[in-house]
Amino acid sequence: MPEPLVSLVGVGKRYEGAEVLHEVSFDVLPGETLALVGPSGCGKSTLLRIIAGLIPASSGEVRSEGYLLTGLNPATALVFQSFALLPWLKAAENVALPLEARGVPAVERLRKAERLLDVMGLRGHARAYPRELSGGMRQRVGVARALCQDPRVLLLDEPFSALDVLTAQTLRDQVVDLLRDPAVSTRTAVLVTHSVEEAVYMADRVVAMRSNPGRVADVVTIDAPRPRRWGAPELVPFVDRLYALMT
Amino acid sequence: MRAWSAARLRRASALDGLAVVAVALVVLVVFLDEPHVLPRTSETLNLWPAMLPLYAAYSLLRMLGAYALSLGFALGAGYWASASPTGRRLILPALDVLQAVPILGFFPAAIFFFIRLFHGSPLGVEAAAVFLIFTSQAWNMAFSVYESLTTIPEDLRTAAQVSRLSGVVRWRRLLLPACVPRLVYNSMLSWAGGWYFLIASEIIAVGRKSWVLPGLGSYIGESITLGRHGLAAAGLASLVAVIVLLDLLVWSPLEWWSGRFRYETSAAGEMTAPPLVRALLRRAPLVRGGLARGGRRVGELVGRVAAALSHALSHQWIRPLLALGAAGGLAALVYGAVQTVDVLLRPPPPEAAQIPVALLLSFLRLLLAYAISLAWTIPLACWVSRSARRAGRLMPVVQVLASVPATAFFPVLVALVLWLRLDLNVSAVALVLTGMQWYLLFNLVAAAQAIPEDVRELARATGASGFFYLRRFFLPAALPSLITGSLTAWGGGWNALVLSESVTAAGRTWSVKGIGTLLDEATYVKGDLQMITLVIVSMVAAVLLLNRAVWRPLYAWASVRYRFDA
Repeated sequence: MPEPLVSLVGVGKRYEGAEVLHEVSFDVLPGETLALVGPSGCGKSTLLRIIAGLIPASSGEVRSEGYLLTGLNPATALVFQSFALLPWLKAAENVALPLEARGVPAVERLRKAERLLDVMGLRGHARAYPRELSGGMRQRVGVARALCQDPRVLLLDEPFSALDVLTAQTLRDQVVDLLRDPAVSTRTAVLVTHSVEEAVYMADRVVAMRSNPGRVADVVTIDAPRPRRWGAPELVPFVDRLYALMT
Repeated sequence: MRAWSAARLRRASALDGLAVVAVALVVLVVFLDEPHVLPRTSETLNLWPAMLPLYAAYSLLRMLGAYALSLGFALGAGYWASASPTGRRLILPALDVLQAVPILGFFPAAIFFFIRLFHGSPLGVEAAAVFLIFTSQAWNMAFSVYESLTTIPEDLRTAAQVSRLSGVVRWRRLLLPACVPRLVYNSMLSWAGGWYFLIASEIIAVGRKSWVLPGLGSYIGESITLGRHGLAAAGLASLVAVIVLLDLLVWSPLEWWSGRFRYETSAAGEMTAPPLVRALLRRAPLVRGGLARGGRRVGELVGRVAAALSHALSHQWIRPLLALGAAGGLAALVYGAVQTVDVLLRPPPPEAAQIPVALLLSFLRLLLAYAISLAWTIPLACWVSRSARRAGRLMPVVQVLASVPATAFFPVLVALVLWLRLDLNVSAVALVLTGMQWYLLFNLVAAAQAIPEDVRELARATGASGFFYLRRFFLPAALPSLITGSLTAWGGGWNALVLSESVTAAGRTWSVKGIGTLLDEATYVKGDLQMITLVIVSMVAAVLLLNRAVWRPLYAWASVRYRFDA
């Protein structure tokens, strides 16, 4: 068994006395796409932010590449449901933001940003402002910004929920391909979603969660072959199993 | 001009009461018990019209100095309030009170303070004028920074955090851009308010013949005093020209540019550039490049300074300094409180008995001016509310009219009233009116434009018109704005009061009984510290009481009862 990239042991979270997460434990293995599914309020987004090091766990421990996590997790980068692009920066400047923060010279960081925009299929849009782009294009910029940090683990927080059905499907395929693309170094992803179908379609393993307090019901391995087809009969048993676990 | 919002109205705290004391402290620290000798100069203004550009430059420099101070204060105080609970608890109530007090009442005190600080040099008067303008500009700008920083969408904050933004980059890429739209809007309001106080301070200075602040305001005041009406008109025209030019060359391009920093991510709401900006961008690539480079430099500089400051604030060694400052402030506060109580406990001078009556008379003048303002602004705004096009035609005219600081008309109005041999009460009310009416009009027109299209259609479909439309549609829709506008208008009115009850022209002083006249006599005729304190304290108390007892409850009621999104 390979060394896990991220491992959670007995993680709990309380907000003002109320228990949001209870004794959550699982590993994120290198090269896998792990999905967290559950009803709203089960703490899956909180869990993702704990992995990113944005909020501390109240109990238990989080390890990233073997080290105990104390601040921001250097191995991860986050993609937002709302895209979270700065409206006053051009696409390439948004993508290059993490490099700018590190003091990388402008020429160098913009070159990398444009390369990543190419990878995301946004060649020629580097100088566009977010408001000039469609929702799908904006989320591609969001993914490119995350990739710009060369994360070992890509954290995706409901990345397709704000998009229309067709755009969402295209982008799902793009993210699945990305994690196998030689032009990109990132191979591992954690996807938070409320859609069981999406989790089964994209993930290698799915953590099914229940609420009040948020806890792990079970971890299901999706051993269906790739490439997968949305709604294919071989995926249906996994979907049924997960629905049963969550309710 | 002060912009009030619902949030702001709710935020004030019990500190209001303390404010009276704090305000008295300023007066006391300034006057102490020393004799109040002001430097008198026999210098007069050169009224030769060719001097006008020079005077315009002087006025503009004062404005710029005060604006730079205000900007610095706004960023510092706004950031502190947004970043630390202590900062929030101290800054927000303080700003709220500072916004409400009639600043002009403190101008004499400010002059004494700064003249003493500068050891009698005329620079003291300059500093006092800059300080006065600063006090009229800084508070709403600081609020706007605070509001901008606290309303940055959570996801953007997190994105900046996971991108490891910090220091200069964080200021340049996240915090400053987030402040731009509100800050530009409030800067425009502040700038307009600044003119009002700049002209006021220049005119006050001239009126007393004791010191000179060369500038457009003093030019207008002086020419009226000497009966040179042609020169006064030239001065007024230069003032309007400067204001309109600045608006075209600075504020409207800035306003357009600030649209880029809004969060709405749809392209639909984008504004088109004003014609002048379009022409510049198209025809002058050098200007464009220069502006872009200059903008980047300024952004970088401000970012650096702000980052250094916020970095310093988070350091350990700054703590003792802050504690020391706080302790000093507290000591001053206690000293001021003791002094105030001492002054208030001394047997009051016989004139003090006039204060209640004077206050009542002044209040009645304000009430009359308020009624007159309502009488013309409500019908006009109601008329505008019937169709969106009417506002488009009316507003440019109104904006030009309102952009001229009302204080510039004071000498003209006074001369007119004296010439027509009218009662001076007429000019007093008219002057107060100029300080009140625009706030009402702008708030009401904004409300008229905000009436949803379907409500407007309903009114048309039901054939509502005349008084019925006013009572059932316009007034309920405009009520929250009407109250906000009233609050601001009364603030403007109290300020104008200080200038309007007692006027000096052609070497004579005319006055009507009122709190403004009492303050005037106490300051300039008698130099009576105790009386000044009593007058200012009672005026501030009256203002705060009125806000507390009338406007806030009214607003709280109206904003719940009458709104469209409920």
